[in-house]
Amino acid sequence: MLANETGRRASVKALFALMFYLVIPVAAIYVILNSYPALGKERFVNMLYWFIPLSIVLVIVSQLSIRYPKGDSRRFIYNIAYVVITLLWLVAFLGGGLVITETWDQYHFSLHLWKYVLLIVGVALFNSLYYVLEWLTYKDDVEVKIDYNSIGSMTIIPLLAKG
Amino acid sequence: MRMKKEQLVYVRIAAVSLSCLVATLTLCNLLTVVTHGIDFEVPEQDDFTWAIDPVEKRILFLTNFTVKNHGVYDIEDIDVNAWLVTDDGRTLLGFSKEDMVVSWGSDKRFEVMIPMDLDEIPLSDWFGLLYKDTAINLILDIDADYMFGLVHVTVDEVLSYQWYAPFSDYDGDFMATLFSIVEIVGYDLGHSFGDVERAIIEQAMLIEDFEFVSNDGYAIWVNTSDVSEGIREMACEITAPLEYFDGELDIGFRVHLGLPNDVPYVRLEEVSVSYVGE
Repeated sequence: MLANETGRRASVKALFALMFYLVIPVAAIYVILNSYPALGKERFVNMLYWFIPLSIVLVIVSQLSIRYPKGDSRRFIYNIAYVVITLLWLVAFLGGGLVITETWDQYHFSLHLWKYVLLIVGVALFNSLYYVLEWLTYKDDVEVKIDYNSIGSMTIIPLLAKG
Repeated sequence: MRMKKEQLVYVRIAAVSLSCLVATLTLCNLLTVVTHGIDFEVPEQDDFTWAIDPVEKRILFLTNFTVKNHGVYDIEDIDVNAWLVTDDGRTLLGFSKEDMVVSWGSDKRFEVMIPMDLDEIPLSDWFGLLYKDTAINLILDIDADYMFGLVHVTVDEVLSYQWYAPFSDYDGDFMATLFSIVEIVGYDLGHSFGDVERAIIEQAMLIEDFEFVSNDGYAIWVNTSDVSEGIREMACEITAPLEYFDGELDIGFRVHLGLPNDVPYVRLEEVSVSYVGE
């Protein structure tokens, strides 16, 4: 794993993503399936099928974003990608729709989650707003230097400007 | 749009806090729900009982449902709507109860009481219940809010119960004619009679006085008048003992029918439905 600007191998953000989007949900589903054998496994397996890959992508994206300084366009793009993938993760966690239908004995009840999802979309937009503000606030601090010696590969090295 | 970096820190703290809050809500509450920490237990056939309201002279159809709330928020705005519907889709009775609450960490049982107002059920429905085996469906519709209304819970169940009509095995032709008469009596004034209705009326003109009393308390009396100007009067009294309580249901109606000037004519003169306690 690459070291980020602070020299750590894993960022707090990546660890947060790892815990909240992968470790805790998988552990919870494991506990549920063992504690409630009457529940159908199919739904939970489908959830895992979608949200484990998305969780891994989230961890990678969050780690990649921290490699670049605040104000760098690539950090901004990774951050926005992080928000979008978080929403996709949520859709996977909710089973792909806004309604969860539960069956207990022969009866069904449905949970309509659109208001809840609206709240989550609101929080996602707020996070996006933060990333936009961060990018706008710090972008002048980033000096893009083109390394003409390796112009063939057009390596762009972002540096934090003094002051 | 630019902000001071110090201000941006506060935005960051707010964004991270909200994200943590939503992630925790998602994990804790939705997993509570899917593990049936919140559950609705709807009634089974054995949970149905009947009772009499002697003051209002109503028959009460009683059942219950239970809401289990082992989550961390109250379940609010619980609305229950229930209908008794015949298998051909006609609504017999309805029930509605709104704005109930089940506090977090508790189970609560709600009584569903559907009053059968004897004056409100159409004659043809009463007669149908006496004459035709049918399935009675209880349509149960429950709506509730959880997590301050962020999650809306709905239960839509159709519970089917077999109804065995007491006269279903008795003299099919006679009862079928009587039932057909009752049905066309219930037509709107603007309904035009066709060949089927004409045939029913012709058959009704041939019915003679009739009396039947069974050993188990069911009885039918039919009295007919002579035909005058193409019209005759038919009076019918039906007594049905009620299995679930001490008493009987008396249904009576008087109808004028005939083919004056070869035009079908049916008119309901009188109808009464009453409960008689023993």
